[in-house]
Amino acid sequence: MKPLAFIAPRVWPALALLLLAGCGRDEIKVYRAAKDAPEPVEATTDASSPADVQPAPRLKWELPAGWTEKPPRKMLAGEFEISAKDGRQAEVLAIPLVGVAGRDLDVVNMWRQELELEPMTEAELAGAEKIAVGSGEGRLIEMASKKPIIEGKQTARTISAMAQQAGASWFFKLTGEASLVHEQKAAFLNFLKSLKFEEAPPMMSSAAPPFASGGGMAAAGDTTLPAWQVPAGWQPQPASPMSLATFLLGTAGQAQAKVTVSTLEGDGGGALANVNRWRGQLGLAPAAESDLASLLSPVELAEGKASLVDLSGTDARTGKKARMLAVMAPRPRQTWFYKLMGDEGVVAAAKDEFVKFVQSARYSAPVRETTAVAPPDAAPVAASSDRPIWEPPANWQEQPGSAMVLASFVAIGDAGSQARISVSMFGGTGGGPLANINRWRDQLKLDHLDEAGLSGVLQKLDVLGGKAMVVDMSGTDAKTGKAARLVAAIVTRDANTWFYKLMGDGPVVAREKEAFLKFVQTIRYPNG
Amino acid sequence: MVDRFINILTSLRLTVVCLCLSLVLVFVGTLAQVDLGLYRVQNEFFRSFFVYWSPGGGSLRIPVLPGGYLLGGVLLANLLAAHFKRFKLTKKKIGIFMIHIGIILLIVGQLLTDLLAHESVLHLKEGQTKSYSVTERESELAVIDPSDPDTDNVVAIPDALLAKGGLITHPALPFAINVKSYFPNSFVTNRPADAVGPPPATKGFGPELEIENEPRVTSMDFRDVPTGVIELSAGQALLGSWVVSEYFTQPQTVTFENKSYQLILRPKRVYRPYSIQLVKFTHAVYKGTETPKDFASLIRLRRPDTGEDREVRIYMNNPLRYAGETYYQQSFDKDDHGTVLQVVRNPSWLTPYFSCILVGAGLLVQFMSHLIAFARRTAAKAKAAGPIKGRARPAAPAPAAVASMSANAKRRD
Repeated sequence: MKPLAFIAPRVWPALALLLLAGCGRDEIKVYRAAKDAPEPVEATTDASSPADVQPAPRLKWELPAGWTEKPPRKMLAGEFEISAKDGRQAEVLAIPLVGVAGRDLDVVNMWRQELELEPMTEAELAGAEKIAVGSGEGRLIEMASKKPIIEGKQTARTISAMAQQAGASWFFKLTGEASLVHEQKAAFLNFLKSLKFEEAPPMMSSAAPPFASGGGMAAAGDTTLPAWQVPAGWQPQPASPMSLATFLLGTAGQAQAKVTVSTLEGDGGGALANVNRWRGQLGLAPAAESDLASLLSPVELAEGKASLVDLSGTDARTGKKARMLAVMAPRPRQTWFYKLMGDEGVVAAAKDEFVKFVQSARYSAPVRETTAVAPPDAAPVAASSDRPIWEPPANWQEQPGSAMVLASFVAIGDAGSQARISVSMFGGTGGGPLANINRWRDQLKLDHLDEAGLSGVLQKLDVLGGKAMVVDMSGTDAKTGKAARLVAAIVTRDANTWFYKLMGDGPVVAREKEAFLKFVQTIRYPNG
Repeated sequence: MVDRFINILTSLRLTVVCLCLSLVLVFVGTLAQVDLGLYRVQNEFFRSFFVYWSPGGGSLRIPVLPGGYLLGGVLLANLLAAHFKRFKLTKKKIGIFMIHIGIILLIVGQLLTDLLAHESVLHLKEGQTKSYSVTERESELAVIDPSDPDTDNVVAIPDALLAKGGLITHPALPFAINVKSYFPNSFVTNRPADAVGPPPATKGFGPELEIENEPRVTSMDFRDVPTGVIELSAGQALLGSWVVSEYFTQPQTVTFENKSYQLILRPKRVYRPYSIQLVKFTHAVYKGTETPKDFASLIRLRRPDTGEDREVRIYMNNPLRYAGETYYQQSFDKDDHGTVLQVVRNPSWLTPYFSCILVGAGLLVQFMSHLIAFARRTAAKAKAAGPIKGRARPAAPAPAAVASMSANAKRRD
């Protein structure tokens, strides 16, 4: 008895105090806080951080006289300053908002509030004047402050326009000293008419990514969409903050399926986490790491491999039977996710074209890897200003260069067949035609030629300001073991030798040969 | 009855049982991190009174193990009770006393850390100034009245309240918030054109979205992204429903009684009376490699109420200690133009140091007092037996003697 009595008065109050210290964590807090400062202006010229450059829908315009364009800012597609000689000022803002349709009234009322005006009603907004915005139509609202709110001396006026274009809600605002704004109205209307909208994929990072590590919200890596060939019948859907591209398959009101494309930094959480997320969407139990091998099947890509997972279950949202095909395509710094999900019949029918679609994707190269580096034994590559000027055919998709290749393109044929076009340059003769042609013959598993044999395969081609040597050979691609054809041209200009090579599946090479030779013929070399 | 209770409370057996259960708890808790992740294990195993098991994932919760709080609490009570019941402070036992106080300090200090310590992060881009940091694994629904040109009036509702669901009212809130659903981890997608059923919410972004409930993340590298559906009402008038999600970095606007409010679910903010601006971030790598050599943030600390304005360089192992908080260099942006500082407030950060010193000193005192006593006895015996050739004094005891001595010491404890 005694000991407890001894403890109690000293210890229990202390313990109670400790427990109290833990309370108050679930309480609503009310406080005044400084307004969030806008994010600092980022140097968009810094090419090392492509992920941080917001690819908002782009805008092109004809700049009215007296307007000064300001440096790009996040959230804005354009910003202009108008200064009158007598010191009056106004500004013009172009704001694209993705995924917020139907908020025109909120935005207008926010601007009315800035002018200390009472909010307007939906009916008043509906009566707004119709104007031309780009090739489409928009609405114009004018408002003026009743009191001198600019430094207490001048009244302010705002002319705002709203339009739906390129998958976004666009808001334009000309605001400033009342008389200047009035003077600039015609210029503003002309500016609106001159606009050209270009749709750009919204970024995943415009919303917080699901997997963010460290402190800040990690960006989703480079979200420049790959170049791909969209199968016929796939209906592109408006871009959304959650997927970079969406296509709808099937007809409305009937069985449908949806293709979504997204990308995440690094491995995007890994195969298991993503597979289990997808399994969850189909009401399937999570898989174990050991099940992965049997769930995933490889898909050959132009560069590297991707994994495909094929799941069937019940769509957790609709309660209907559904099938899902999902491909994870790893890239150097990020992973691309392609998902086809929906009605079992539609998905089964679209499986082949979905895989082909994924295979057709050509990714833009991470910036650091595109720098061409001359091979150590060759003369330094001419500075970019000294590079020849060429015009590749429209169906060639530009590819990242590499250490040896200055430029690279790919031409796609049927059934996944393709051919690559590459351009390289070496100082001097680059080893001479014989050595290079024999190197290519190695790539085609053909026997070497001697000088005498060489003259039998070489053809001459007129190019701008000179002649080129052309070879056309067929054999077996040493890398893939498939039949392949190679057409190459060698052009010697000044102290350098240029090598142009078209190599790949026979039918594609045959189809592209004429375009390739024309490409070589029309290249204009510097100083020439 | 009371005597029996005191006997149990003060028994050495209880200590041993508690220590054994602690071992089991640490072992099971470590294994459980594979499935549950560090943060859930911390909360469910160590910051709890019981560890629960739900058979088949049902709602039935069966306590299967005592949690960290219970074991720590019982151990502390046991130690204190035993101490007051049996212990008499004598010169001989001063070492034991110091060890016990050290252990008590350790347990209490840990509890204090648990209750009072707070960790958050401050993410700054070069040139950016903030007077708040965010708690990464906690969220809040902020209802902001931005009408004042200089400051925002914020009502911040913690995620714990949102998770409970139901009606939330507060005198500072212009409207009542009814939490219709709350997903601690979620995935928000655009609503497909063929979607059936009503959209999750009627206003703001709501009509265009679909919400997917996701399992809680378990990896330390990832975090949950919560989403909720809330319905706002004032009296009888229903204003509509909104989807709030950490996926949206921009607030949504609610217009009510001719006034605009902003609504945003965001990582919980901790505001301070001073601001920190990132002047420059430097990230040096070893030449020719990507191996980091040094990260450093040059920051500008400004405190309006004291007029303080100075620049500080924060780099690895050189945190800024200011106003009871420590700012560590934790991470940085990929573009090398932003920094992530970890902000730790731990008023009891010194207690483990004190307790270790106390326990160490206690052990030293205890062993030394036994050693000296033993040496004296040996010397006295030797004196009684007569001088030994070539040795005027006994040398230090042989290792075997020390071993038996410490065994003795333990037995006496």
